[in-house]
Amino acid sequence: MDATTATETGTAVRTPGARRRPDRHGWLAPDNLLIAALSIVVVVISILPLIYAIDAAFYKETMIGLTTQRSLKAIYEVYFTSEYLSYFWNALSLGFIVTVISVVYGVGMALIISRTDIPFKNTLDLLTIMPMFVSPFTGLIAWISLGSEKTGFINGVLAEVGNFLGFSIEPLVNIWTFGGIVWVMVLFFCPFVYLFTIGNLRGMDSTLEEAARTSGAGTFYTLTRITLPVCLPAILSASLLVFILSTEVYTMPGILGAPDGFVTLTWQIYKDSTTFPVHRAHAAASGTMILWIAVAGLWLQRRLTRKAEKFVTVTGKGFRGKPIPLGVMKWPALIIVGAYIIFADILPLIAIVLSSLMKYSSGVLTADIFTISHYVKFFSLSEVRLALWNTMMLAALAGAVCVVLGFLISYFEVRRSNRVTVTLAFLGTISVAVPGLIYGIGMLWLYLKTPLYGTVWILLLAFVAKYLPYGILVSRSGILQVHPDLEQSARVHGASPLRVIRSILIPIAKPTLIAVLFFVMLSSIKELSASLLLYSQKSPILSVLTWNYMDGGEYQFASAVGVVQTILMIGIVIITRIAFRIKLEAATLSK
Amino acid sequence: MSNVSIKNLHKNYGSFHAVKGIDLEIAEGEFLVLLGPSGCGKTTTLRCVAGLEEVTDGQISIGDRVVSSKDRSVPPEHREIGMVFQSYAIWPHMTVFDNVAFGLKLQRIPSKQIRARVMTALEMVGLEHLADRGASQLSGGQQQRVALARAIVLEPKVLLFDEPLSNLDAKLRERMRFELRQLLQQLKITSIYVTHDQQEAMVVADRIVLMNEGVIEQIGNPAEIYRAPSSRFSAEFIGLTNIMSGRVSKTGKDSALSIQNGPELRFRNGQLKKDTDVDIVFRPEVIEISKAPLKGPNTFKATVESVFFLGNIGDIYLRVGDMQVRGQLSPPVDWKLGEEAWVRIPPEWVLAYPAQG
Ligand SMILES: Nc1ncnc2c1ncn2[C@@H]1O[C@H](COP(=O)(O)OP(=O)(O)OP(=O)(O)O)[C@@H](O)[C@H]1O
Ligand SMILES: [Mg+2]
Repeated sequence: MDATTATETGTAVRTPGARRRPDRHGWLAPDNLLIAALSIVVVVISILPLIYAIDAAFYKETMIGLTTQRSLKAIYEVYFTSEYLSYFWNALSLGFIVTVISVVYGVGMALIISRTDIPFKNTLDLLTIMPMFVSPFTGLIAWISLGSEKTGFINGVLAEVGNFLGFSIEPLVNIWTFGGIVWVMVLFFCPFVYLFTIGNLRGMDSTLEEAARTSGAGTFYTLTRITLPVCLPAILSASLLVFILSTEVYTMPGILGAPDGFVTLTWQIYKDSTTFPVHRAHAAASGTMILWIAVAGLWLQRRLTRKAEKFVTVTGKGFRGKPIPLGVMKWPALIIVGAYIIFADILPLIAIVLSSLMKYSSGVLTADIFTISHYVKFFSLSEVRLALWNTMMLAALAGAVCVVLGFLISYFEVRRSNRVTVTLAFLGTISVAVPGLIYGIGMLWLYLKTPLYGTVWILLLAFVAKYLPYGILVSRSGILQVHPDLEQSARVHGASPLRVIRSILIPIAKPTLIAVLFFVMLSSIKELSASLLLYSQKSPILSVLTWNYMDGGEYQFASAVGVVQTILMIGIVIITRIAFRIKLEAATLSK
Repeated sequence: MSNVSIKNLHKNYGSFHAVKGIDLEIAEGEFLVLLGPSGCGKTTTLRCVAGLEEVTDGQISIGDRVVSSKDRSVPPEHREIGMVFQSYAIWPHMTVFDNVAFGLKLQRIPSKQIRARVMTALEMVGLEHLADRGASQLSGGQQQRVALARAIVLEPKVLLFDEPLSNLDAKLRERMRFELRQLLQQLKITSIYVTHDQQEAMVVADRIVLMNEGVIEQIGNPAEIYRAPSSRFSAEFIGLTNIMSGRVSKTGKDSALSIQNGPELRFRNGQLKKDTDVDIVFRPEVIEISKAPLKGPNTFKATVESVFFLGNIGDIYLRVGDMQVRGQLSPPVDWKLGEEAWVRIPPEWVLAYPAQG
């Protein structure tokens, strides 16, 4: 073969007779075959469904699906009629309100925990990010049993207290309102803001603040004029992420808003794709609208990140400053953080466990209301046992596949950097910007006529598509930590390229890879938005079951399933923390 | 401008004793350098003066005011100090002007006056043309100057520097030493300057405080410390030196040292008892080296072991019996390896310290 065709690394070897590595032979070199295979996988898993999801918007639809005839009707109705625009508006305004509140509260907690001498710092920190490790849908179930107007525990307890004191207290809270939707979503999104901000605060050069102090600024002035402005790019970036995510989420606004007639665009997408008569093209067209938000948001976020990098305030040393002594302000600070922990962790946990042990919904607890029948049923229903098995299997497989693909793709991107490998990595990470719902639509459409349709394997594909970006981004940062000299010196000492990967790169990048594995497992267990479109009777999983039982009004059984699901997830978090000393939240940050 | 007085300063981090009882009086307008190896507690001492750390024991006063004591600490913003940090700590979200004006704005000074004072300070450091530049677009050297302008614009009672030049490249660092020295001589602000670079200390200091493991080893002006180091540590830390182990063999007028497996040496400080184990120290540049025979005490015949040509001077290693001596050739005369040489080590430059450990 002519040496000029040996373009396997992009830098074509143009001098015939130049020394070529014996382990590679032009186009058919193992590396190139592998890259080709990876490209095919990425295209099929991440790109094609996306194209199909967009494409589906341009067909004429029937009551059960799409025809082969092209039409712009759906696009027109979604983009230009008040019905869909009002759903879009609802999504935007909900997203805006949720973002503002989450940012204020999340940044506040991050400041308190990173900058003051608040007691129990580490425990508070862990409990604040805890909601990230459980399914938001389980949290929703918990809050339904806590905050329902008639049967919720909170109103129940308040009424009891009223009785005891001799006057009647009207039901105070009602989760089935717009306010309720905002409440539950804020509880869930706060940790994202918190984590982004505190990461920045902890990495900040403490002398920036000390310089302000020695220039005559007090603690509060320093916080508002120096600390917060320096973190602003990170905070804005977190806000955008929360905004994108909260316009995409449909479970919470969908379930809680339905009685009020409050419909967001994503909820409409869900209804259009699942309730008879379906409107597949409308769903797809609405999907493209949501996609715009995500694309615009990520574009802005990238610009902000670049600006933040110019600030280079983050030193390797980390924050060494002296914590601000709170004095008596300790109590308000503890109340701020404590309130979040109570409402986001403790009350929901108590509620879901209680609810899973009750015969029916009730705000008032009496001895004869308790039963363990839901757990008995859990292990006797074959559907549930299958769902448990499917969930664990899918989580393990999705985790493993994302680790392997993510590692290989980012390895080629970093160490064999050329146009092909960089594009491959880019394509693999695109899905980070795409809501799960849209993947659901695309996968459904793409695999409708294949035997994969209706099996668990289509769920696996969806999970891999959705979480591969974490695999790529996180392993990339892991590989970048390994200085190329380490690998090259191994080569010089006689190791083959494979051997170098096996005995140098993988051992050093191992913590990163383990983090990816468990993070993907965790995310797969709670995945709901794509799964709801793709599951079938034959392929149930736990998250979908909680949804279905909720939908069927079996709140207590749904709670029991939620408890089991939560135990699985907390188990994973504990294993990674204790056995591997890895903090999973770090994986989220690389988004 | 004020004097600073530090009395019996102690600072613990948990069970770790970082500063172990420091006493210092810094005169008005004096430029004092805290010098010492990494981890000796220089930064800690400085941060205690700034109020960025609370003291474990002891007392610090600026002027007549006690600012730090065991149970009372004036916060940094009320100490009227200026500080330049090793990382410069330039606020990236502000312009150069805003960085420098920050402290003045806090004092509610009319904005016209602020403008004038900021521009004067920027002129002093030669950055007036960059006033409106965003701080994140500055080079290291420029950031360093902004940090300096920001510290002096407040006309503080005391200026504190924590290794302000250590992040600059060698050439710039050297130039900045002189600029800084000149500027401060002009301003006459009491300054405490931390560095681990002895050359830098020699250039800028009125007085050097040499620290080691949380205590003061020696205080003096640069020449004093160089000529009369009070311990082996001082001698080693400042300038080049020959060090060897020996024992006092004679006392009195002809006091002498015997060097293990080496010749007997006359030395300067004669208060040591006979048979004391000592560290013997003398600087390379005091050694007289000659091809012609030399006379007098401490004169030996030696062999040239190696010679390094360094341009303005030569570095030469000679062997006297089992003793290796490093000398300096200025100008760098040609010596051949293995050549015979006469060396004389003037007794007034030979110092001995009781051996430690
Ligand atoms: N916040 C802290 N917590 C615990 N130990 C500390 C802390 N700050 C400093 N130390 C320790 O105190 C000792 C003195 O530190 P200091 O920063 O004063 O050294 P230094 O003389 O400035 O050294 P360098 O030249 O490396 O800056 C070191 O051993 C250091 O590890
Ligand atoms: Mg230091």
